[in-house]
Amino acid sequence: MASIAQEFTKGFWKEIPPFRLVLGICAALAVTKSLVDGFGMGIALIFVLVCSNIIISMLRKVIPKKVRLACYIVIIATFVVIVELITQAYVYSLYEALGIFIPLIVVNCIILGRAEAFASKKSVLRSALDGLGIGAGYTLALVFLGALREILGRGTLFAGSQYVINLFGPSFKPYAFMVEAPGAFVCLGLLLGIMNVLGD
Amino acid sequence: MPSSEIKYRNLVISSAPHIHEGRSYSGAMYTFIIALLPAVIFAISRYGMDAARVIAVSIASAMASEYIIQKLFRKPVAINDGNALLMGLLMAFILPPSVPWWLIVVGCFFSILVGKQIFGGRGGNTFHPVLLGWVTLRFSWADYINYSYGAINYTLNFSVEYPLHVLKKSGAAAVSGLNYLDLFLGNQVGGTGASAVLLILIGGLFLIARGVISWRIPFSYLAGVAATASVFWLADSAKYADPLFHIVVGNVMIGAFFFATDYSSSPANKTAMLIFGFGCGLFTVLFRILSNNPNGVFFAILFMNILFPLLDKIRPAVPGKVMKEA
Amino acid sequence: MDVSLPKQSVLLIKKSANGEGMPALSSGESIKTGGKISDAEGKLLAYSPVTGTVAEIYNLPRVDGDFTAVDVNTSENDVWDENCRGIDNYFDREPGALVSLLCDSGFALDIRKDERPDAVILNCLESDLLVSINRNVLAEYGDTIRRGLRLLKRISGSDIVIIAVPGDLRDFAEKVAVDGSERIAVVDLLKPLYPFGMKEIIPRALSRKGIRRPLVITPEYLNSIIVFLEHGSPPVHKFITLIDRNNVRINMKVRIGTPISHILREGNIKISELDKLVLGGTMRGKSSFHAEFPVTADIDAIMVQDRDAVVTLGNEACVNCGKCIGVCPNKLQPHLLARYSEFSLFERCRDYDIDYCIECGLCAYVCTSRRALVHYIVFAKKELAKMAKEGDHAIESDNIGEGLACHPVK
Ligand code: SF4
Ligand code: SF4
Repeated sequence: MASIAQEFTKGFWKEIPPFRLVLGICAALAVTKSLVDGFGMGIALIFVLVCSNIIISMLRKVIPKKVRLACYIVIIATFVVIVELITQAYVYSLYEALGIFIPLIVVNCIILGRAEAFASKKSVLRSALDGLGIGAGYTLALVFLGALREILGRGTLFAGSQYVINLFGPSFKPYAFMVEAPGAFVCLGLLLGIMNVLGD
Repeated sequence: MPSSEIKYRNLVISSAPHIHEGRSYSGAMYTFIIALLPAVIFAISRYGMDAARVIAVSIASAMASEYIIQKLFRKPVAINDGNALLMGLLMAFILPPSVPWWLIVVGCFFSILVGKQIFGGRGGNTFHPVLLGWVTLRFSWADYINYSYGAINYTLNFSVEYPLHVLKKSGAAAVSGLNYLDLFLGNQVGGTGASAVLLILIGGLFLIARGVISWRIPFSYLAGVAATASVFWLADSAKYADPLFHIVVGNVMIGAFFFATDYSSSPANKTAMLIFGFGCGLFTVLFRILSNNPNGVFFAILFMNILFPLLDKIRPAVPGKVMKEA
Repeated sequence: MDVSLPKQSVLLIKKSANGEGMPALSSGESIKTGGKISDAEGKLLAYSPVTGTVAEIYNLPRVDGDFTAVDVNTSENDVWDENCRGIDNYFDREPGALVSLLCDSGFALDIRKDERPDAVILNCLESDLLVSINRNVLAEYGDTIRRGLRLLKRISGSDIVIIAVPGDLRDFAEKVAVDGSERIAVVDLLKPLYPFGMKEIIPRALSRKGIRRPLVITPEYLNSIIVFLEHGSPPVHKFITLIDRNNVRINMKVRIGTPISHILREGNIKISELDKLVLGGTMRGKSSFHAEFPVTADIDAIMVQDRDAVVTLGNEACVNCGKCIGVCPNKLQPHLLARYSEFSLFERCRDYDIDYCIECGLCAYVCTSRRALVHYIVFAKKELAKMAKEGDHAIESDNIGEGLACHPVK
């Protein structure tokens, strides 16, 4: 059995969701137009993932096998609504940027996957750490992807926050393709390939 | 005489056949390049050093990208097979002569990396690499690769308005004054080399004569354009331009003979080739008329590139089989 | 040109997979021309083409399989085996009995009771490029072949007998086709194009259409059937075309079993390192490790290719140009077959009708990427055969005619 620390750290490399598990791709492609968007999405996901993992792990003896998916969805949806309302209230610009992808966290396969494969079998502590690790890994990946796309496609970093940095000066003509949807696919594909070369 | 006593003479062993027709892949690539040479000369004589610059930068960056990527991927370096050179040349042909050098470099690098090598290198590309590169440029720097903007700096004896833009903006009446023969001879704005319609056609016919490409894709392409444009034209000739116009302007010739016929991204079966070509023609006109982007050729070819593996499933019946089952 | 009898001849007997094919001979034993050679259980393996004493028996692998080789020190005067006797009145025998007799004696004759051939085609086109033996065969064996056609017409029960010839052999064919005042066969002129001479293709090349199940036979093979029926042993000679490195061709009449080195010596051809020695023509011949192989009945040509003319076919990626599809006479997809074979997807090869590939070599001849397409296809076929065998534990089919080196098995 993996040590407690490993439950946490595996999410950063060994099971980093978009690259290793190839889960959560839909959101990863859609919200990584900039670093800040990616980061916001990651944080929202961490919150939902950790909370739902804890609750599901606590209730794992109670939930009947046959209706477990419905139960998980209800739990997950609850936290998603919380996240949605909070972002709407306090970080409205992020709420605008993420749009439909916040409600869609409900069906994000990472969360359901962790619930089904991990939280429903393991103790509360392990589940919480797993959620934190996987969520942090996901955030890391989104930040990286978002940064790459933002640098190439806009020539900036931290766009959408107060700390916008214009990396290449005003005469830079950004490679706008990278912030378009096909650019996201190309970027993600290349990163996946690089991970496969580096990994193992 | 038992094997141990036999005098082995280090003979060459191989499977049949023991002769080859003599063609090679690089031979085919260099034939493509030779077919493009007249248009290269045309381009340099019209746009001067600018055209030479675009072509040189493009070829150099395509070949350099190929070299670097093959080294990086630890593949045997095969830049002398002519494919990278051809890709560079084609990229230069469809860009206007005024493009900045970095744009060409980015386009070529993307073409070779994502268009070709990621798919497995020679023979693996599902899409035409250059068109893929061109699409990213179009997304990013549409103004730079706009043919009309590019042509403003030159003294030309014809209108710098891209005919397809004119058609889009002002309808068929605005282009009816154009002399098609003039357009056909290359007196239109367009890519550095691609606007030399007649010379491209001659190059294409040369390729067919040399047996490098089959006549099926280019001619069914032209037929597809003509047929689709005719349908629109017959329905409303005041609104839509006639088929001949659609054939002589806007990269149709280079698309039909040099892009749609790319070996790896076009079907290999004969019927499939005809359908593929016709489909390219059909979508070219549809894109031109129905979308707000008049440059339909490249998108049409890319679209058909997606379909070609499916089309290649249409294969002829095996004669022996028919005979036995009947 | 006739090649002299060599001092030592080699008799080649194909081994079957389960180790059969060992003749019951020992060194020093003397054999006579036309004598049967059997294994310990009495199964017929071959007919001796020469008279002499056995010197040595050993294994000799060839590109297409394992063989048992028997070295025979030949003696100058041929003595025919006394058991070698023809079949009386073979012409009047009942067809079924005659066919099974021929099969038992090692001839592969594709006539089945349930499915009679609807035409007999005498295939006088050459089997491969640069081969040119049929002029000599028709000139020398014309009478026997005419008798053979009559016989085939009778035992096949079909009225249609076609002699397919290239234009320059028309006169020979006409002579064979007419017996006195009676015409037994029609002559169909074909362009001497490859691969019309292959038995799978020739029915399609004829001007007469609608032939579904023809019996296709080459003149040399027909001759050997008749010689066997009349004399009790198949012919001991074989016509071959010797092709030197400049593609200059000499036709030769060779005693079966003559080592190729002997023929090269008589034909004044030297072979040196990195040259290629091909048993057969340019498109389908099998290359050989060395020159000590004997001439067998299935070799129509011997070709020496200069080291500079040797082409290298490899495994460069296919570029999907479609050239191979355009030339395949059976309209297969050679590029896909080779790709599937390369990545061990043999089942897919079967879906793409690999069984209908006749290994003509045209696809590899035109391939833009110079892929060894035929090699891949043959490999896949072998693997499929292996899988089929493992699958249903089929006993190795008793393919009559394969083991007999003396017979022109086509
Ligand atoms: S060898 Fe090639 S061309 Fe000939 S039948 Fe087979 S696949 Fe077709
Ligand atoms: S000829 Fe060669 S390269 Fe062309 S499709 Fe066939 S196998 Fe591929």
